[in-house]
Amino acid sequence: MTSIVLDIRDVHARYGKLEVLRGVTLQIRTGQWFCLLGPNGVGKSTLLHCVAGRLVPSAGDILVCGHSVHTQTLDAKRRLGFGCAPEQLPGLLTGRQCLEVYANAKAIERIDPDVLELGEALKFNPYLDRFVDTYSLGTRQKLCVLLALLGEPTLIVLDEAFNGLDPASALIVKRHLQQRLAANRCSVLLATHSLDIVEHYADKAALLLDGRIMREWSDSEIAAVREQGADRFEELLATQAQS
Amino acid sequence: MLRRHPLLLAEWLAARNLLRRAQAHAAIVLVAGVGVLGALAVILFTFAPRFTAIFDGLLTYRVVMIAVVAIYAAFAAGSRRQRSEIRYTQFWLAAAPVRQYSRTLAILVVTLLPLAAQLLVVCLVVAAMGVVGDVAASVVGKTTLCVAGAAAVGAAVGWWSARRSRADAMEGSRYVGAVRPRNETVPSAAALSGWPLAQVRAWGRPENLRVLVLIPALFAVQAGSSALHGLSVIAIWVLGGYLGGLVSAVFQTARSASHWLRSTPIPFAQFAWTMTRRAVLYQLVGTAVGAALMISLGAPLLSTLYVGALWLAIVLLSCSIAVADAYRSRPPLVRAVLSFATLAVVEARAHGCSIPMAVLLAAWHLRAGAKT
Repeated sequence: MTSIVLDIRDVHARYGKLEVLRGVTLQIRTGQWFCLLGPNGVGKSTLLHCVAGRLVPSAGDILVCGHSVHTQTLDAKRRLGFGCAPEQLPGLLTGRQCLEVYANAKAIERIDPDVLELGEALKFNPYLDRFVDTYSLGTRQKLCVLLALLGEPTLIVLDEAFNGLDPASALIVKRHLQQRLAANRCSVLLATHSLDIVEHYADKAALLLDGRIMREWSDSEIAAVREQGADRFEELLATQAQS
Repeated sequence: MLRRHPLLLAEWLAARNLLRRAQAHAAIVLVAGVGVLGALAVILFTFAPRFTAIFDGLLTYRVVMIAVVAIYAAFAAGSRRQRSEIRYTQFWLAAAPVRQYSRTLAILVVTLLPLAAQLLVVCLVVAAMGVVGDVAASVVGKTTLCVAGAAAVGAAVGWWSARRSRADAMEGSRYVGAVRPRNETVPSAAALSGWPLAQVRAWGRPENLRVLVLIPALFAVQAGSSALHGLSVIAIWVLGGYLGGLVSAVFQTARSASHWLRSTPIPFAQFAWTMTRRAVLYQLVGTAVGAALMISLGAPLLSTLYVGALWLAIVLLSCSIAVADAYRSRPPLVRAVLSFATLAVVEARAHGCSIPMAVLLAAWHLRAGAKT
C-alpha cells in the first residue's frame, strides 16, 4: 500500500519583500525517492526549510503523514528526519552528544541499532567522542545524515547531503536509503545537483525554477532519459533552465 | 529535568564542554582572571575615598539610576530574546519535535541568564565599593535594591516588547535587504570600512531602539522641560547609543574580518586603516554634533571640549585594541581591561592626562599589531 507521506499544497514563502516560492505543489508517496532539482537560488533549500518547519510559508500548507507542519507541528516532526546543514551542527558538542540530544528530542528510548551500524560502516564511530568543531566537512555531513535517520522517520529530508562525502561513504548512504525505501519504511526528499543520483536512484524528480515546479519526471520517464545517453539529463535540465 | 527540554540540554552540554576545554588552559584562565580582579582592585582602592560621595549621588538621583539600569536591562533582554528566537529557527534541533513551552523556556533561560550574571557582578562590585569605601550598609543595600529592582522591571519590559509571532521569526537570509547594483568589480579592501557602520545599522532596527528612545522621552516630558530641551536630550541619548554601538561594532567586525581574511597576505596597516577609518570619521562627526548639542543645553565650553576629547581618545584606544588583537587572533578583553584601568588610574592621579595616555597606549597596541 502506498500512502501520501508528504503533501505540499500551493506553498508560497518569502524573505522580506522577495517571494522565493510562488505556489509549489507536490506529493511524495511511501517508498519513493524524490529528487528536487534546480539552479542555485531558486528556492530548493527554502522549500526544504518549510517542510522541516523552520520557515513559515506565507501561504499554502504542508502535510507530513497527514499532519500539518504548522498546526500539528509535533505530530509532523515526529515523523520527519531532517538533515541540517553541516555548519549548523553545534561545535561544542561531541558527535555522541549530538545523537543523544537529538534522540532525546525525538523521545527515543535508545539510538537505533541500524543508525549505529551505518555509523560504523561510514567509519564515523571513532569520531563519536570528539568535538564537532574538530570534524572535517565530510565527517560533519555523516553526522547530519545519521541525525536525519534517527527515530525511524517516515520522511527523510536531505539538502545536498552528499556534498563533501567521499565516494565510498556516499555509496554506503545511498544503499542504506535504498534498503529503507525497499522495505517501505520511509520516503526520501533530496535536494541535489547530482544527476547520477537522479538517474540511478530516484523514483521521481522535479525541477524547481523561479519558485515554481516547472517539470516533473516519473520513474519511467527518468529511465527513458537514462537510455538516451549519459549526458541527456544534463542537457535537458540546461535547456529547461535557459528557456 | 533537562532530559525533557532538548534545547536546554544542548545548551547545557555546550556550556559544560566549554568549561572542560577551559580546564585545559587553566593557567591562562587563572592569569586572565587574576589580571581582571587585580585591575578591579586597583580601580577600587584608587577611587575608594570618593565612594561615599558616589553612593550619595546615586541615591540622590536614584530615579535617573533606576531609569538607566531599567533601560539597559530592557534593551539587553529584548535584543537577546530576538536573537535567541531567530537562532532557534536556524538551530540544528529546529526540525526536532520540541514542544513550544520547552522552546520558550530555553529562550527565557538563554535571554535572562547573562543578564542575571551581569546583575550579580554589579551587585558584587557595589558591595565591594561599600566595603572598600567604608560606606554604611543601609546605603549599599538601598543602592543594590534599586539596581536589582530596576533590572528586573527592565528585563520584564524588554522580554515583553520583543515578543514576535512565529511568522515573523524567519531566519536571516541573503535575500533580505538590497544593495545598489554595480557593473564593475575593482580589487579593493575599501568595503571593509563600511562593515562596522552596517553592523550598527543592523543592530539599530526600530524594534531594538524603541525602548531606548521611549523612556528618556518620557523623562524629558515629566521633568517639565521645554520641547527643544527634551528633543536635545533624546538626540544626545540616541547619538551616544550610536557612537557606543559603533565602538562595539569595530570589535565584532574586526574579529570577523580577520577570521575571514586570515588566509590572505593583507598587511596590518591596510587592515587597521580600512577597518577603522569610516568608523573613526563617524565618531569625529558624531562627537562634534554631540558637543554642539551639549553646549546648546548650557554645558560649559571647556568641559564639553574635554569630554569630547576624552571620548575620542577612548575611541582611538578601543579601535587600536580591536584591530590589533583581531589581527593577532587574540581575545581583546584582558588588554582592554588593563588599558582602561590604566587610563582610570592616570585620570584619577592627574586630571586630563588620560587623553595623551590613551593616544600612547593606542600607538603601543598598533605597534604590537604591526609586529605580527
